[in-house]
Amino acid sequence: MSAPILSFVLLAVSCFSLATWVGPRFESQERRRGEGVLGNMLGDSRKLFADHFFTRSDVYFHSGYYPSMFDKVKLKENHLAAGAKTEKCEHDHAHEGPCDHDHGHQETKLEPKAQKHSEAEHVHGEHCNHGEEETDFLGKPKDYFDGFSRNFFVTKHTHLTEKGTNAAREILPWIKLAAQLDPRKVESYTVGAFWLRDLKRDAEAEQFLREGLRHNPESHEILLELGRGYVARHDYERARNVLEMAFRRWREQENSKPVEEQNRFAAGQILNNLVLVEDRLGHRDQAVSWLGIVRKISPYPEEIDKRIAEVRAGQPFEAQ
Amino acid sequence: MNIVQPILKTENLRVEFRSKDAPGGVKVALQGLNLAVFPGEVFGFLGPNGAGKTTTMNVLLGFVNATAGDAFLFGENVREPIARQRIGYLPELTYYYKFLTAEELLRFYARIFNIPKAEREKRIDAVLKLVELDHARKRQIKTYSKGMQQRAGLAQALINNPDLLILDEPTSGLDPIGRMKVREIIQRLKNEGKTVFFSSHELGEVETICDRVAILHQGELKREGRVADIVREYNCDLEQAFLRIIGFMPQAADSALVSKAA
Amino acid sequence: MNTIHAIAIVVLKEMIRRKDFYVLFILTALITLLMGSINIFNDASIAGYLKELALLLVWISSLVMAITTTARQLHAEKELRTIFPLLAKPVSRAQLLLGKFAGCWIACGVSLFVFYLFLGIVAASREHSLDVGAYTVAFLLHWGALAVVVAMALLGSVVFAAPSSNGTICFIVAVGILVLARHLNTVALQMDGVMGKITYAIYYLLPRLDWAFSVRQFLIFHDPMPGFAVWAQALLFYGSYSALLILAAWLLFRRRALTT
Repeated sequence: MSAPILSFVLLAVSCFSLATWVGPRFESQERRRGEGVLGNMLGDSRKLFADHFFTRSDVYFHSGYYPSMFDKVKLKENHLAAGAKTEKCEHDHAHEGPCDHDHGHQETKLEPKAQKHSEAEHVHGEHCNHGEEETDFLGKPKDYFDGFSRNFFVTKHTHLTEKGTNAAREILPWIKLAAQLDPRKVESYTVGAFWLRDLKRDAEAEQFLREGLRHNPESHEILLELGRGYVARHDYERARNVLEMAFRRWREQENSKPVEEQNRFAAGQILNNLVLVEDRLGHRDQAVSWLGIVRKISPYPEEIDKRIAEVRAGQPFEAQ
Repeated sequence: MNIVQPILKTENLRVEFRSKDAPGGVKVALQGLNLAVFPGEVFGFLGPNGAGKTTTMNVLLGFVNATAGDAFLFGENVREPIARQRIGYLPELTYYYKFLTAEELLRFYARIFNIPKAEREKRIDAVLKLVELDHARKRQIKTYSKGMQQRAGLAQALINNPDLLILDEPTSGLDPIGRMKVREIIQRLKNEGKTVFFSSHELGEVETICDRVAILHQGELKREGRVADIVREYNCDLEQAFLRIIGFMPQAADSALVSKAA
Repeated sequence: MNTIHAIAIVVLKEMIRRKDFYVLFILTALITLLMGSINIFNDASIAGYLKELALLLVWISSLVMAITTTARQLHAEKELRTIFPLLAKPVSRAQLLLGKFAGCWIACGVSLFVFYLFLGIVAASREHSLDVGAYTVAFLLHWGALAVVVAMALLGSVVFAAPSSNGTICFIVAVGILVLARHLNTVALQMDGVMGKITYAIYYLLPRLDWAFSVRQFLIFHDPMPGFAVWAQALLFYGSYSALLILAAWLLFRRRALTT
């Protein structure tokens, strides 16, 4: 066999062999391509980036006034110390009677649950029960340099909403980026939609939530937010459909858990909105029925009884 | 009676460098060098490689500090920058800022000498004409040939109309025409009353243009004097005399030369 | 002064004729314009994220420019042997260092001015307003901080043989200061014994480049800039620190042998 023909045959054989090696890898690439360019580039670390950018939106909401990771370590140590103090105080209570320092540290006992929703709530603009320490994590200047340095960065706790109408739009790019990086991060969609509605961009809010639903079809939080949007637009029929779906999702996910682990706060929100919707649609009996379920999970059943009586009496229901 | 002061003087100049290979870890590059160059003369500084010529020039120009002894230019200690106000220096290897044009380079050096603006531009024109770089004055130096770069180097050495020119192997790497032009420039400077101090390995050239020479070997000054005197003393040309002074000439060849002369 | 001025002009000419600045500016502009073209919920007036990104790119570009331009000055002079005809003139080593510092710092200032101008145009196009005073203060503080970086790189070029090692170390130190300097005292207080004291000493000794870095927040969130007395003190601090670093460079450089 002449040299050129031999070279050609060898080349063909090596190409064929290479193809059998490259083929399966290319196919797996095609599957991963569904995750997008960012997904392919960053892999699993995109979730870390998503969390970072979501936090960034909170930083923007507070106009840059935010604890650094060093401040967070210090806060954590202070909380632990405060927790230990509270436990000691209660122990002292039990054995020696009242102590003389304040019980502002009681919040630490509620922390695990409070923290679960504090971030979303915070970015929603509702003030959480932060102790004074958390809103003033800087504390007093530790030295001259520290004091002088405070002229160069933000040291006042403010919210973007105080800076004029539509100022809150500045947090949206970070939320959008967080959602793109981690489409399974539900808070990105719920918080983003909340602020889009606040900025009177209802169509964009709905589109964003529907995009979130495509990636998280089981999410009751997104359905709740979608329902809230319809309620705000007085589209009560649609709101009811969506909120009922939300409650079904909630039951599917939460019913199997022990009672103390269930996210009853979320259920309360869904049900409150359902009561409102039914009330607006004139379906008082259905509204009372939903309130009955709320009564079962509420820590204040006597308050719910009052609300039931009000609805039965024909008074308009206001969601809380 | 006016005693003419030397324009360039070294007094017991000693330079040592740290060296792993040298005994005691110290290499002595110059040992007690005493040199004097007077105004208006062309002075050749000779020696084989490693003799200490470059070290001497480095001390004169302030690149290296002497371990002991002193060196003076125009009566000023070489450690002071002002000592270099009236000198021009042409290094052996000519490298200049490649991103500048010849005109910009000369303007830069002229500013360092505090030459007033009007006179500065005149000097630049004159010097560029002298070194025949007028046609390329606006081109960046990175586009110049080696010969053109050498001429640009000569131009910068002359920009301040120096009274003393220090040239380190000025004809190295030049073709015969280039060498002739450098010789002409040196002769012209001498006619203008300038002093030229240069090192070279081209002993034929040195014999032609120098008034006095100093011969260095292994850091020591072996001989200093007028070219004519040295040639007469050894009864041969400067190259032969140089070889004998540095001890290169073997004894048999030495006596053969004497008998030949006889 | 004439000598320092002349050397500075040569450095400036080099910056203009090299490609570094143009590459950095074009990269910054491209990335900023690309990020600006992204549709954020059909709202074209969102500017915060763009300003933050642009400011970050400006800081990175300015640090790269300052460090690479300065780190190669003395090394290139020695490598290309241009230092010999220069020092053969009535130029002292102090004048050489000062001339190089002035040239590099002015070159940084010119490029920084172009960057901030671009940033201002981008911000104004979105927000339809521009607080020129705030941008001016931010620019001055940034330029002041770069004086310290340039002086640091100049000292490094006397200490280190290669510009690459000098550049790397300067970059790491500068970025470390920007990110960590403010928190070093918190870290020090959490440490016990000697380590805590050493960390606190480092905290006091570091040049506080983070002051200039932190004022970006005021530009992004439209907060008032620090008053004249404050930023003037900061500039004075930067000037003093730069002078100290240049003095240290001179003390090391003045006796260094340069062999042809």
